Amino acid sequence: CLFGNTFPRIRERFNESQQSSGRERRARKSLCLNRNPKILNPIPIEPIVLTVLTVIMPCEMIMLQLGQCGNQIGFEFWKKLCAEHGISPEGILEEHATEGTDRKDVFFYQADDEHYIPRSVLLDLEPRVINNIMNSEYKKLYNPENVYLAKDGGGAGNNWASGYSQGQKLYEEVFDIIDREADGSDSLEGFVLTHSIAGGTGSGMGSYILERLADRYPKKLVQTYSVFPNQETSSDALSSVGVSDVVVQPYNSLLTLKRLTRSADCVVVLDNTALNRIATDRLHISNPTFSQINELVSTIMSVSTTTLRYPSYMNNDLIGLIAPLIPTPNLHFLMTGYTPLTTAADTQAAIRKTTVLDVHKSLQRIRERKLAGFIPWGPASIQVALSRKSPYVKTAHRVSGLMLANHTSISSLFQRALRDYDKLRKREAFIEQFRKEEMFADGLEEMDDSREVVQRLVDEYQAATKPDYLTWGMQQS
Amino acid sequence: MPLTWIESAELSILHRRRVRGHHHRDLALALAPPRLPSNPSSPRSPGRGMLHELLLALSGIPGQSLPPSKEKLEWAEPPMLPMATKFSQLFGRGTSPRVHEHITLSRTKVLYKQLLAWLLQGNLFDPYEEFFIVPAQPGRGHTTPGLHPPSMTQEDTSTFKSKAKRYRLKAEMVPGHISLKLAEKIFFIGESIQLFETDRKLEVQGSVLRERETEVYEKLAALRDLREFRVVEFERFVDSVRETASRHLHSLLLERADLKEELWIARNFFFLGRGELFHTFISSADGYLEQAPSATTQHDVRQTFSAACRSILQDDEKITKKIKVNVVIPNGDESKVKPIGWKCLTLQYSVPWPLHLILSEKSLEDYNRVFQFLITVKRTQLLLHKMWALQKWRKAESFSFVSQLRTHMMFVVDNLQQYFMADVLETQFSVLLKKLDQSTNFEELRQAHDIFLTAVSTQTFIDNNAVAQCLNELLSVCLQFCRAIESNSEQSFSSSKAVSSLALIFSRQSGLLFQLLTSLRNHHSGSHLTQLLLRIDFNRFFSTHGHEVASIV
Repeated sequence: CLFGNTFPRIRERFNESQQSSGRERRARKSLCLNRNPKILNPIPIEPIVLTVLTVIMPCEMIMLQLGQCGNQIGFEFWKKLCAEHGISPEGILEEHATEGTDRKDVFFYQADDEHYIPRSVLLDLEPRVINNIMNSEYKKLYNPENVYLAKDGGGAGNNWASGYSQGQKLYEEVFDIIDREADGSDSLEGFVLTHSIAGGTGSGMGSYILERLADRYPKKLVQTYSVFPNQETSSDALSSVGVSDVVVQPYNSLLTLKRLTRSADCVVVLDNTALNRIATDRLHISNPTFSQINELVSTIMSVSTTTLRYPSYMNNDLIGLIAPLIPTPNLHFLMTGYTPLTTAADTQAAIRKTTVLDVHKSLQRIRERKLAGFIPWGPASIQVALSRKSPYVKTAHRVSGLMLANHTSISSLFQRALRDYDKLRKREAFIEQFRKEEMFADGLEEMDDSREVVQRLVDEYQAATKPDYLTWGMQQS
Repeated sequence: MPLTWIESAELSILHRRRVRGHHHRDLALALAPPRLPSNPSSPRSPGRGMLHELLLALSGIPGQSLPPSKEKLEWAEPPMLPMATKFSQLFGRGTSPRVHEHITLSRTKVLYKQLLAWLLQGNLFDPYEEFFIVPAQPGRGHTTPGLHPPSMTQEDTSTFKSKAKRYRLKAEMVPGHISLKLAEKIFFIGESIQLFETDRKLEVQGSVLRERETEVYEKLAALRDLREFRVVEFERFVDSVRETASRHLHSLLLERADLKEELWIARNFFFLGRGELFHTFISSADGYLEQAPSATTQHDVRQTFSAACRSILQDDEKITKKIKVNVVIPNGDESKVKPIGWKCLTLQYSVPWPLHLILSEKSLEDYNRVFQFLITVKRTQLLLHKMWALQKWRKAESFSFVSQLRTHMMFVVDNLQQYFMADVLETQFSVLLKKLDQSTNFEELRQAHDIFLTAVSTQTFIDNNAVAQCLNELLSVCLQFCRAIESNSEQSFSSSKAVSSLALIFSRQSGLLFQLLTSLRNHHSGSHLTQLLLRIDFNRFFSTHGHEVASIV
């Protein structure tokens, strides 16, 4: 009798529950199966019905900022993002930010109606940069629980092995933060990690975190913005990002490259040499300072996420942005180029909107003049996404262009890393710094293994330039 | 019915004419069925019976049945019009000019009376159904595309339910001296006035011609009082009134009703301008729509759609009320394979008054056809991206046959999507907006929108059977590939026969597409084809390897 009475209500509920997410559906189903209908009581069903249909929003990202360089870049990035979304340094939506069609939810979450908090975790083993951030006007922006400073504050001493082993020790604490942040996000698409591959914390601890992320979140994407050290001799690069004056940098880079190859899904290579070139050639800054380069990096980061952060008809999620660029799992290192597009003194042209037609014309030009070489084993092209820019930020240039490219020539960076490493390794230079750490106490296999991984990466990039790449790939497996 | 409608003066003229035997004969001949210029299908044919009576009148038989009172005569006057028209056509130039003129004039007078009502109030004054504009009977006969919205289904709570009556232009009733084009103009004016007068929703829109009413009346009266019907002057008059109405409609649509905003909304939804919304919707609704729809599918999908709208558009409740998704279950044979839900998905868009003038039911059908196609492309693209991630999770280390196939598929689909969204829609839409800005009257608005829709349907190939079919098969093989990867492990799949047959179909279809597009471009030079070919053949892979792709398999 009870069942008869409640039946219509249950039916109604059931219809409603079909709108709920899979998890709740499953929960309900098991409930139905486990219960004998004769003694079915309507009361326990109530809580299940209450849920509103949850939908998967494309693309929510968590940013992990690691080490000095990573935190500096991250700091600039959030600064830029705040300006673009009309969010004040305190995280409050500015009064002028009324347009409201942007997607702040990709990188921020809302604490209340007008309070936005970056989905960001700040990690470092030494306090200097993080303290600077926490003393800046942006100190109230970040969730203080997401700022993690190693207690001893001694840093990793530019030693990959030290960073890695400290990462191991701090695993629990660090992943408490990351897990909490991930749980708080309804439709997390992946992680963005900012770091340098040359120093100790960003490279060593970064390597460790990359490995654990891949284990713990196998279905999330991991993208990194990795600053590569300057290729010129350290004497003329003192003023720029990347710590190329670090003597053990070749070891650090190689060991990190292994993790970037194995555990990341997409690495945006911020090649210091290239960055300097952009600054001098494109932005006409003759002697780019540290902060100018950082500013440039954060610009590249924010521009490469514009199609995610503004409503648009394409590239609405990270996967849509990177999957077409990465045809094959290992070759996921992307180069960047950035240029403000100025059109001489011709005001007429400057006022005109950049249209699809302009894009089409330049694509044709690139093809005719053979400005870019393409893989011979498959169709390839250049995709151009026209994106809106923030209405709140005034820039000197009306239009700017960012390029993300997967080009086999990037392997020259890795070849160089291998050469630098071989030079040091032959002499066993500074190797005792590494032997001190547990990981290398019994031998240097880890280094040999890393070298092999990077060598294979170089080989694969070279194989990809040939028509028989597929045959090569089949032989490898 | 006695000959009550012939004025006594006219009758006497006719009586006098009667002695002319050859006219009589002409008339009799004219009455013979094959030459009868009346339309037998029209509800009440004014031709035959009355002409017969006229013939009898000419023979002088029923002469005594002339109406005695003046009052009745006036009442009897209107039906003269079609009669007299036919009459004058029959008699042609052979008739004495005076008779001809007389008949024409009385005919014209009636016409002016009807026009006055139509042009100034948008009303019909036509008790005898002689005017060339008649009330439209829903679902009957051919209707000239009018200004009025289609009747909406009951569940629809749209904001536009025009109270205006619906009319149609009856081409066969248009008198010979008024061209069809002119008649259409006349039809347009009355329809617009009708629209303004009866659907007075906005304060300003009424009295389109109010300030010009006297002027119009005087002009019309002057024309009426002329001894003859002057086509040129009449046309000029109609043109001037039409211009006023058209300009008024133009400003109403563009300024008051914010046509451009509405077109943005249409683009954002029908043409997936809000990619992130449809991204969300597609991933959330795929579970319901990948099978054949059931009775509850529409409800479920609607819930999903509005939830997606709520989370993406947030404060825009106005829009979610306006747009709904429909899943139309096709009724057909039980035996036939039912199409999956995605194929039955359409958007229902309540066009606010008076924008149905532009976004008519017919054009919404076109929008929906493009929508169905675009959503298939987007869905395929999303699934292929998902497969990319899936292969990654399965730790497929090196480049394999499956990843090559996936890469090729992704390449084609991504570039198709780019082409549709950027090269076609973005470009055509900005052309449309520019034209709207430059337009000055209603016709230009409508034309700009028509051109836009035509360009979009041409360039998305939905009207080109060969290309459309090829594209559909291409997308369907990609979808099959995705489902196959999902349900198999990487190893078992890459060695299976299924993958090689999918690869074969895919390379055939992509090769065919390339050939079709190339030959299309060689025959009709269209910049859109050049753009699409540039995209998919950017590194000349298809033009050099197109035929080889199949042989790899």
